[in-house]
Amino acid sequence: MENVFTDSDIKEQEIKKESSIDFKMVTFTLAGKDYGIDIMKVKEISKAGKFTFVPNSAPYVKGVYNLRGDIISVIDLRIFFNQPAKQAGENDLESMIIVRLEDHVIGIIVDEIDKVVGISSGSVQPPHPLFGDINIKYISGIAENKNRLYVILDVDAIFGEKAEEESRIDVSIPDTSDNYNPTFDAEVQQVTAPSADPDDRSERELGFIKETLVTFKQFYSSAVNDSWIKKRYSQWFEDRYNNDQSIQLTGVDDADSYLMPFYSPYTNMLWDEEYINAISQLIPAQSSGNYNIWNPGCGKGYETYSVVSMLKKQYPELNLKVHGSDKDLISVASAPGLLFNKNSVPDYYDEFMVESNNGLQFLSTIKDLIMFEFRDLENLEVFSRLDMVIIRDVLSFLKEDLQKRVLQVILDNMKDNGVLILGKNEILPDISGWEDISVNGISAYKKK
Amino acid sequence: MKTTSDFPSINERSPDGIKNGGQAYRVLIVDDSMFVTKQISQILSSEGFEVLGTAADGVEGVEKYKELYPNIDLVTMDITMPKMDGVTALEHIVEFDKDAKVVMVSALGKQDLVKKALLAGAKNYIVKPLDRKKVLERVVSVLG
Amino acid sequence: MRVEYINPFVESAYSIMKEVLNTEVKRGDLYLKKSSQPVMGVAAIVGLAGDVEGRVLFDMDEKTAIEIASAMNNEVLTEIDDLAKATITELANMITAQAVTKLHDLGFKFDLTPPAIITGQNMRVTDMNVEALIVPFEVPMGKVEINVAIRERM
Repeated sequence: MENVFTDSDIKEQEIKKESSIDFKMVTFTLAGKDYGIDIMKVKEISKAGKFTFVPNSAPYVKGVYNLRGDIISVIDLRIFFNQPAKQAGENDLESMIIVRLEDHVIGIIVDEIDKVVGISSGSVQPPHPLFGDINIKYISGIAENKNRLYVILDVDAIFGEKAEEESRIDVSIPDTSDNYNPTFDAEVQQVTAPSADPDDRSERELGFIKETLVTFKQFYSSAVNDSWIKKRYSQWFEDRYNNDQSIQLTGVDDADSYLMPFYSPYTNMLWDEEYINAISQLIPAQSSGNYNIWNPGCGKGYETYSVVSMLKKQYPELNLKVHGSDKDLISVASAPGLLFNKNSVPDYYDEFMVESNNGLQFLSTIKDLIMFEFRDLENLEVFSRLDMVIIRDVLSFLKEDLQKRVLQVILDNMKDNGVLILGKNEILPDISGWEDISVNGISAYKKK
Repeated sequence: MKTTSDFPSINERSPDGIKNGGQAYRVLIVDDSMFVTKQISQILSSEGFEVLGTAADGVEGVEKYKELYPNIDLVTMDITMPKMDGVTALEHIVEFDKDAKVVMVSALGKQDLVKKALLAGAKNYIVKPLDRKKVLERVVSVLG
Repeated sequence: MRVEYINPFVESAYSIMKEVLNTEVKRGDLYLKKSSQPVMGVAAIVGLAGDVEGRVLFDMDEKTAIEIASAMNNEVLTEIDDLAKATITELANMITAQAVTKLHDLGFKFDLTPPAIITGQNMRVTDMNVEALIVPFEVPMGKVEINVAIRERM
């Protein structure tokens, strides 16, 4: 082998070099070995169970899977690699990586999905010629990270069009044992002082963080939340640096930590009086007549009930009509019958609630004003003119083009002087047609 | 010593579809579904009923009843049908023959619909899916 | 779709299929889709009216339709003839009617219109521009998808 570095040489390099992460991969284990797939090729990861067997297909084709309406082929990578697959029980969920190939999407079943690892692309070694032609075809390279050796798979080569044409190819797992001594550049911690100003490297790091937020939390960065993401990045960077931890988000837990300060107050809770007063001050005085409210992403309905109570108290004569909707069926289906514990309900709501067998519920006079729907914003249609839209922490979890579409629908259907309330850390990217009436902790806009 | 032949068979009974005189009850089946008509027909025929006629909508149902009168002992009437629904057809038939015995057969089981049909003169109401036992019991109870 | 409408359709489909087919019935996860979509080969449609407008579509492939019709008739059918069509239509009718009955008890006044059945390869049903709820079922005869699209009358 060339250039075997000694331990001290490596340390020196670590100290001198700056972190140059420009390649991220989703890592997983298969028959005890570690593998990685370029994160740009990974659409999402999930645990799945109900595959539909397809007869007359290759043995490694587990079947097809219904991914929210799209039927995708699912390949068992263990069988593909001639490894004994753990016999999963009928109801067991398998770890599946959904991979975006050139023309289509497939699912790949592995033993266990590990985490996202960032490395420098320069540190990826080509597969050793000893492994043979087949392996060189399917392997992008080998990389080392924190004492683990990852075989990086070229999914296009393995599962793309060409591979499908050929009959079953025997691919054996490359031997990454002691015979192999790669040279590598270790992932290093940044040594220079943390700075709030994004420089080239910081931009890239932030870019990677944004990608990981999509993969693990379906949180999409855009003009709506960009300024918050940047501010958060400075804090995050400092925290992690001071605690000697990697800046990058390596798993769902990290992504959760990063996003923790993002969420609006009173998520999954009834608003308390203070918040209600703050919000009601943003609403222009109403006379009698109709008042239509749209509340997408209402979840279990806490937000919806809070708004209705607020308006009912302030304007008892107002003819309220509220549409609450969410893509989470279990949450929104429980909204009409939502039960409350007496102790956790602010006194403000007392006049609107009634005791029932299992707890406190809202009166039917309140419930009748609200229609809860199981809806997906992807399939938006036109509806009635709106006086108010409450859409907190929803836009940030939509892909950018859907975000734009939803905002356009809101703009088109909002009456003059109608009020739009976004999440605490979200802003309207295009303010034309609106007046910014945000106050402390509440992001709000009024239609001009 | 008593042998089996000395005992009257406990299981022997006359089929539901045969009147005491030995003749079969004659039935008119009104339903827009070929499948349901076949199903009801099979259940009733197997018990000796005679299916005298069938109709595929309310208008045809009323016509056939009038044509075959007074030879229809029982009508089974679907509710959701084109041209004329079952309850309206029921009303016409009862107006024509106040003693008509009509049993509603429907997949809809709304309380107010059942009440409406019974008030309009239906003698019973069977909710689909049909099972043999249920159909025969209800029909027999109507024929008295 | 209004959440209160969901369970009646899901429950009715499950219980009617179980009773009428006398087999195991497995239900997949519910999801939402834009209502225009390709049909598997045989589609029975029941219209909804009253407080809402909409329709319920029962979607399955030919082989499944033939097997279901055979089971319901207690005889072996070999093609989608008039009897098979009438049988599938009746299945759709019973499921929708039971759901409508349940909804009625919940205070929602729906009515049904007589069902229709369409068959053919590569068909697309393009109807109301309304989001549809898909309830996938699996029975030994094959897959049956229930596709409900409902629009509130404003």
